[in-house]
Amino acid sequence: MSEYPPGHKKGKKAKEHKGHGGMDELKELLGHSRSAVESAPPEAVSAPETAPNDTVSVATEAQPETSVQERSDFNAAKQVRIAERIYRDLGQEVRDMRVKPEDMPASAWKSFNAAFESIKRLAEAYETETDGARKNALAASIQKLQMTLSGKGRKEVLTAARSMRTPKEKAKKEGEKEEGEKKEDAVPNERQQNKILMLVLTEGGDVDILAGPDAVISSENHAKAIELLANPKERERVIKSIKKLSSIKKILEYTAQLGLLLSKQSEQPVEVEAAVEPSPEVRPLSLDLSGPEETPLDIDLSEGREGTPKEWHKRLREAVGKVVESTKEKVAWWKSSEEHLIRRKEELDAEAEKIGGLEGLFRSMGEKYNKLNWKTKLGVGAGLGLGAVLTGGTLAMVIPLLGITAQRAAGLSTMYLKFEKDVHQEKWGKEKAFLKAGVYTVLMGIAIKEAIEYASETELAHAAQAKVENWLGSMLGHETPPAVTQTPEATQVLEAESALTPEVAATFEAPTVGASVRGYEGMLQDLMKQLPDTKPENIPDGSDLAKLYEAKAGGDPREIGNAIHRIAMEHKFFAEGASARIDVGAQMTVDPQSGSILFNGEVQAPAGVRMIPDYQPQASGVRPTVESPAQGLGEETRLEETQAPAPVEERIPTPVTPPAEASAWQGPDGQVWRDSSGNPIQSEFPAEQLTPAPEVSVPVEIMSPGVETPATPLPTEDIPAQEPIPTVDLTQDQMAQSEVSGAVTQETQTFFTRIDNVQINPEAPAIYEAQTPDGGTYLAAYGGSDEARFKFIQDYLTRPENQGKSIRFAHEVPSILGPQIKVDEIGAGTEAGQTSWFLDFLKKPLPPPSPDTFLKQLSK
Amino acid sequence: MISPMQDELTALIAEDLGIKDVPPAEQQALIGQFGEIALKAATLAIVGKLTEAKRGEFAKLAEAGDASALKAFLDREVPGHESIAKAAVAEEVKRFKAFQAP
Repeated sequence: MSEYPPGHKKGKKAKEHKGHGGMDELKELLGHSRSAVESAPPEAVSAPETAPNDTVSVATEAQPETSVQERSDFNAAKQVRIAERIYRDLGQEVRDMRVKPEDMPASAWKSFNAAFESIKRLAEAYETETDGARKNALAASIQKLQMTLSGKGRKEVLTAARSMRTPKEKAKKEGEKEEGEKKEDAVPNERQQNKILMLVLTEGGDVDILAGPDAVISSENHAKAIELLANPKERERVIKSIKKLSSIKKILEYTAQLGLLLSKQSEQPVEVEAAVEPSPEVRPLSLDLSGPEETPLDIDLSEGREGTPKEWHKRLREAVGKVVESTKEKVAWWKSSEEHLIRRKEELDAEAEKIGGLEGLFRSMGEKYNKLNWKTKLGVGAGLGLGAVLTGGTLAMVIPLLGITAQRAAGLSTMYLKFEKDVHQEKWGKEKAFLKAGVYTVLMGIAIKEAIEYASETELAHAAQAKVENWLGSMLGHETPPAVTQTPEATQVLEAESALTPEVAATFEAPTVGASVRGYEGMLQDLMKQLPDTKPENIPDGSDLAKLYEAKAGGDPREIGNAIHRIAMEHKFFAEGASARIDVGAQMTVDPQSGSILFNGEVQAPAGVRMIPDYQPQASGVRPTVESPAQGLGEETRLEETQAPAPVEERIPTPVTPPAEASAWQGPDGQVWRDSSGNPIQSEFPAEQLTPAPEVSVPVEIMSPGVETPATPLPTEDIPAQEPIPTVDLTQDQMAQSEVSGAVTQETQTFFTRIDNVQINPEAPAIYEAQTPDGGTYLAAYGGSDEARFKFIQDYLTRPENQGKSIRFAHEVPSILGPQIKVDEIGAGTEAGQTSWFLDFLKKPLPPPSPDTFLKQLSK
Repeated sequence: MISPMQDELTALIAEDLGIKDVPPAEQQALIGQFGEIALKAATLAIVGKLTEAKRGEFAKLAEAGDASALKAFLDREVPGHESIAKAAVAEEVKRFKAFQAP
């Protein structure tokens, strides 16, 4: 439930809604004095906590503020009133979108609420403060917060509200709720029918003008329609324009919209009756409303027919009545089908209750299903055999789909997204329909190996299986010739699909990246690499994605680093000098609609997330490993130099060389703020413009002197790539390696295993010889991300000397309860000159390959 | 933008449900709603074949979302579960279409 809005009653409407009056007043007060805000003294931020409250000064009436020097007449109470007005106006704006503010996620209001509360708190402090300089500082902070309130905070709320609004369905469902049974009685009367036609004619081909929940039928339109119809020339023009409509369907939809709106406005009198009578010289209308795919309506208002105005009016009413009835019929049919499904669902729920023991599962199923996005729902339907696309539909395939959150499904894995794109480029045959449906469903919810498993066990067998494997091989970099000869029919399909390819290419596919040893910010950097070069259209300004593109456009690595760090702070993945712990299974994507960065489906760091303090090399006594370009992260996860700030892996702290910190963020006492890896947080602003005021929602605490490197900021030193890799013996708890923390493992750490001191780099995939409990041996893959490891295995097995070998590996699979580790084996052989693959799905619960058992490393 | 593959699947399912003439937005809404019906109907049909103790086991596996374990369980406990699920879904399709018939 939303925290919206503090001090604002649910459902209460702004009594004096004046658009952006609050904004204007704020701007007037602020005088757009951004420079004044930015140059505010550092005490401003900490003022509320340190301000004495033993004295109270009465503020005088405010005059517009233009500079710090004029703040003696600053009115804190007025600032609070302004903030409250902005709050009310924003709430009204949200409701105008037919979104209930209280239904919005709390995260949407987080920045806004934080700014609002801070303004009130600082205003109180301002009132009690007696020191002039501190009052000025507080005033500056309040004004900056007002900017946040009306800028970023407001934008986030509106963006979230917009994303919650699905125009047609929302409008209809809202209308359904509000109108209830009245809907049946809301048959447009005669006057309203006339009005519909008038408006249809008036608006011509612009069917969208009245669509959507914000549509309003204005009295001006009524008058305009009447006036137009009274003028023969204008009437001809209107008739021509209406003929531009491609089909009667559009008119039906249009009139359906109007009918819905009219039904809501039925209490309002419509004053068109008196003026609707056309003048005697007006000739009857000739409407050819037939469309190519629709049956023409029987609207007989032909040119040749004579008639008095009354007769014409009658025929007009009849014609409109037909349009309205036809539309009503369609709407009613759809509504009744929907209601039927709702009733049926209730019946099934009741049946589940009778059986017993299933209520929880059914409720959970329903809730999870309803949270799925359209793409995943489609996968559920296809997986169950709807559309006869997959006759072997099974619950086992479908139920795992429920474990995917809506946001995550939007991005899914890069593997799936690539599949969806490639499926239109590959040489699919005539069985493409069910093949695609099956693979679509399976790949969405399960893992790539299950795709092959189901391909072999369901009707996707034989040729289909070969194609799946062929596609997998192709995707993983092992091109093999198509196994199935293309038929002429298939060629036609391909041609048709190739025509669709540009459309696919034009679609913005949100990339998804896995956990990074560089933490949240490292994941963001990885995500940036996968974004299209061109900024997708319709990305909301001010969104995370927009910020990334802006930074990327500048081409300045420091700017990119700043943007990434700010996002991490805004989303609370870096706060109070600590970074959120990143688990192995973490995923990051971006919501294509709102442009928000989603971490495991959430925008903000989850409540209670474990925060890990800054890594302090001096305190740990462990010298971090320096990663050379040839080691460490796989190719696909290594940052491009032009996109990333100086990689932390290439820096090693030394106590001797002071870096230039002219543009680093500094606290009020001159201390340098540092990121999760101990590096100074660089600012995009010149040093003289720096203000210590952090983002409102993410206060950054200054590192205490006891932890901070004294006096000078953490220096760095570039280490040549050829330098030998320092290692540490970490033969203790190996389970700790299963977690990848952005803060703790900023540096690549290798270690030696207990057996034979095998050197392990957990961040780089490699093949090891491992020992079973009974003394046997097997090949194990370990290290790197799932995707990198899988690719590494494939590369290893395709070498001639490794043919016939099999390798055990652990990987992650999604489930309702979250990511889970599974263990499988994969092997490769050669058949007829082509690489053939097999996957062995280990049924018994084997532990994942553990470095404890490694005897030697076979391949890096 | 909806991908061509989604369009293709949507068209196939819409045809199966007899709603291909409905505007796309309504098609999506109905298919989305029907998916839940199909899922629950298939689940009910299969769970109905299980003893009470096994139902609890099924519920746990379903909550865990482990496809392989679920499949192994259903293969063992409900022979022909795929046909049962399919029949249940087909019955729902039939029921839905019958409702639409004038």
